[in-house]
Amino acid sequence: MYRLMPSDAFGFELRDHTADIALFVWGDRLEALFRAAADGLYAAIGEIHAHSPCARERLDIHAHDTESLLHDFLDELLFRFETRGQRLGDFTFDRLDDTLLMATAAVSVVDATTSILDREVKAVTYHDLNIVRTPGRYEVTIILDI
Amino acid sequence: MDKKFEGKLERIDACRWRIPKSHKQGMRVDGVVYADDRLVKLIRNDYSLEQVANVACLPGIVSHSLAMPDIHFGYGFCIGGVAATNPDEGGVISPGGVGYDINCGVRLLRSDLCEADVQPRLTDLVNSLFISVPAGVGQRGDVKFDAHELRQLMKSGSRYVVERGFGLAADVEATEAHGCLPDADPDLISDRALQRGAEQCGTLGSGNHFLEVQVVDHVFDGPAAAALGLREQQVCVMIHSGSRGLGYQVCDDYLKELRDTPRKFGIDLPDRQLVCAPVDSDEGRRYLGAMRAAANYAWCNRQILTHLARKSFESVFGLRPPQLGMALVYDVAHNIAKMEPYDVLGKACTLCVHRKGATRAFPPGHPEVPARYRSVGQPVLIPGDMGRASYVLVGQPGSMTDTFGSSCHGAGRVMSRTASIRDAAGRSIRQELLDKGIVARARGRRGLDEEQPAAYKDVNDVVHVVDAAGISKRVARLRPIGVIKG
Repeated sequence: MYRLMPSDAFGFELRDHTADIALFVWGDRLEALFRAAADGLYAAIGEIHAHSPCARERLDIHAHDTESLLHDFLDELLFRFETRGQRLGDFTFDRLDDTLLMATAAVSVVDATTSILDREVKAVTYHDLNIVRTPGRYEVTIILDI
Repeated sequence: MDKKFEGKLERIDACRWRIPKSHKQGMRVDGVVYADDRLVKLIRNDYSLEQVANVACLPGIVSHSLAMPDIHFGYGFCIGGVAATNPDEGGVISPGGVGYDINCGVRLLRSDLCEADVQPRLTDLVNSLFISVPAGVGQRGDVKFDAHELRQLMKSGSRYVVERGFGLAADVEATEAHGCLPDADPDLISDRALQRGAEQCGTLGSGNHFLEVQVVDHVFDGPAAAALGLREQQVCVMIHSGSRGLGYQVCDDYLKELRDTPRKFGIDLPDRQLVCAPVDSDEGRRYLGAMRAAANYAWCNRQILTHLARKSFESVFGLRPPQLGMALVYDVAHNIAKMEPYDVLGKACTLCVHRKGATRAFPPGHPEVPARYRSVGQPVLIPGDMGRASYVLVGQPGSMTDTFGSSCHGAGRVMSRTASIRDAAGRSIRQELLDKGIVARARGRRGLDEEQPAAYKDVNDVVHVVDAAGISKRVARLRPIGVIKG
């Protein structure tokens, strides 16, 4: 399954990976890649329906390299989903480079009554995590341990 | 993983194969894979054998990089991998050799009920368990611990929750390591991990975690079964779960913390997911302390699940605990690293034994085996898939000479989750199980389909290999009659 957003060239696909799930993500810019990865993570968890956003919050993440930045970004989304029942979206990236992410996100509370949760994502792994950059395209495959 | 292993596998005997250390530059020892001819064909289909070879490159690895017959692809280490390293020779500890789900493990409860007692109320029992045992994505437990209590239970292990009413002292005695790894350091657990774990102690989880009502279907070894309190037609409960979000976060935290450690110590790794630190280093000690704390959390988790299962049985059958006789046979970890004494070429050493999807299997006479089992060996609990059998084995002397006291842990996947769901399309796995007399309830759309029997190797084949290899011996086979999945 994949989703292609009409306004930006980015999307994701969930693929086989023996005991786990591979999230293949692409985007025409780094911001698009991160947005698609967020969408893909939530899709891997299930059909998540959320109430209207209740706040916008800042995300400030600093990491060793871009792959680690992506890992930590998704890890934050997973953490908030699991511990606070939140879904984050509508990201506005003030800064996103190889090691620093500064963004704001709309925070919504997940509607537990209408959401269909398929999988427990234990972790976003570092397995073969490598963002491939070509002119006008970024791609990465993220293995989710489930 | 689409890649297959392209290297040479040399037959050692009917149950073992060697990956020679000439296969890859950097291998310090050979790889040894436990498998028969049928299983080895399946094993070659993914990249797990290359991972066995990669693990053989770890500093201080002793004897062999080992793989059990339920091997399949993992992160860094394969699932089903065993590796012992010697700290005195720069041996390392690697979080990938334990896994994200620290102390994922299994426990088995026996009862004084037989199948004929349970069958008339089986659906009620499964429904009661399904309601009582929190399972599935986003499910929080009814038992909540604050940060202070979490630190206490991570220090003390399952005894902490037993003392608070979630079981019996005898449960602690019947748990590997008495439900507590010493030298756990809860202060090394991040706030993030604590938050993930705060409401999950006493929850089953999802994926391949389960709680099953089982019947002892066949006894292979009468005296050993008697020692374990097992007999044919007896109803048992098997619980498979681990350290939940707390453990997953600990692994993730330390994979990050140790990222640059191999470079610091001049360790060249064929796979960066084998990130590691010398056991005898600050970094290694930190991971060990945190891993132990997470392991202790897992034992508390399984102890609370035990309590909830007992309560369901009491409620459904209207019997008090002495009448039910639901005693813990044993609890084993199958994702863990432990410091254990072994004789290496005539010298007594304390080794760091990584078991990732492998179970400790100490033989008769070993001092860590509970006294009442010491004549027969440590119980080894092998969950199969939900449509087939599970097994109880006991450790055998071959484990100490050949596999650092280790045996297999389960059936091992052969089909990806997506392929399993595709294979299940148009079928009702629940009905197929019901046709076999198994009442199953799962949360989530995919639970039963993803975990259908065809997704796994045949556990009978896996157990046959470890039995034939002399590392553990079949005692009893159990078949499921009720299944709860998250």
